[in-house]
Amino acid sequence: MTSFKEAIGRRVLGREDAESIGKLSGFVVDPGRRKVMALVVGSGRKAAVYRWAEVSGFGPDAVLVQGAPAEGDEAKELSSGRGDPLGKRLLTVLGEEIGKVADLEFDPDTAELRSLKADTGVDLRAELLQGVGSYAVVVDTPS
Amino acid sequence: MSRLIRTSEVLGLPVVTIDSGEDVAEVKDVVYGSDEGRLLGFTLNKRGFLSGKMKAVLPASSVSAIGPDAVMITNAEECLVSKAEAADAVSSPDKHRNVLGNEVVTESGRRLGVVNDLVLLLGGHGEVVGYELRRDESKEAWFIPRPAQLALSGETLLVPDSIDGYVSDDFSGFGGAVDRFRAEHGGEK
Repeated sequence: MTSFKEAIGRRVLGREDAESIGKLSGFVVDPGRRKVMALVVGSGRKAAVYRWAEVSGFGPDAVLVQGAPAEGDEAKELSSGRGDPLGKRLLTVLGEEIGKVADLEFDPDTAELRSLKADTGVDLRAELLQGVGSYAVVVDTPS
Repeated sequence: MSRLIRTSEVLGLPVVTIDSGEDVAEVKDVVYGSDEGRLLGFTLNKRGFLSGKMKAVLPASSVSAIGPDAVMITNAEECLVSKAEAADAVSSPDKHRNVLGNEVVTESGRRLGVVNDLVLLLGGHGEVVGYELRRDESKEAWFIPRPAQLALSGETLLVPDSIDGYVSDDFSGFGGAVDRFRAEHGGEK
């Protein structure tokens, strides 16, 4: 399992030329499929977004990408931060805030999310994830 | 024990979509259906810099849950409706049925106080389980279970004398009082 927090700042290299593209600055999550959908590399004007299909390897020291980054409206939406769960308010489907998202764990081979960790220490199974947006990450209540 | 929330605590809460985590509106006011004993819906304000009244309203039937920090809906497209589409009661509430400020009087003609707030089931869709009444002399808040209501007019809420046993001056104890009252009176009317 790989931690989102630990992966932030990792080198991102091009698979074809081994050139450095930048540093991993954020994740974009698909709450419906409970998977990592894309990676954001670099920040500001130079930020580039790579869909998971373009990621050929996600290792402990570097991330390899092949193919081209997303463009146009899709790139804008993906790099907007709306789909990034880290640090966001954690809100249950019953309208109760239970902390902030401190970290997430995912499988670097399949992109599947395994769990979310709240800053209160509470661990939530990824199956509880309902939505990710600019206001909050919404989760079902742990039974 | 039932967990509760006052409608005054719901005003100003964000309305958040479950499927996309966006705060699409905030609660401006609640619309109470006194006959039904539950909220019919909410009028809304916009969020953020462009704050001001929203034309859309949120019918109670579209609410997933009313929580301490947000009112949850599945998505904005289906849940927020224009005033024209919403049932009349939600878009133009009958002012005579605004129970806030009503005097609370018992069958034997004793005045208990004034209705100051409505009490809802936390996590629910607007079920009103009771009233917060403000006592005249002491400014204490007492909680009266809604099933105890005998009659309601535009000015007065009439309750039985036996209500004394269920009045709680403690909000956290009120949940227990509501459960007891419902159990003894065979559930809600």
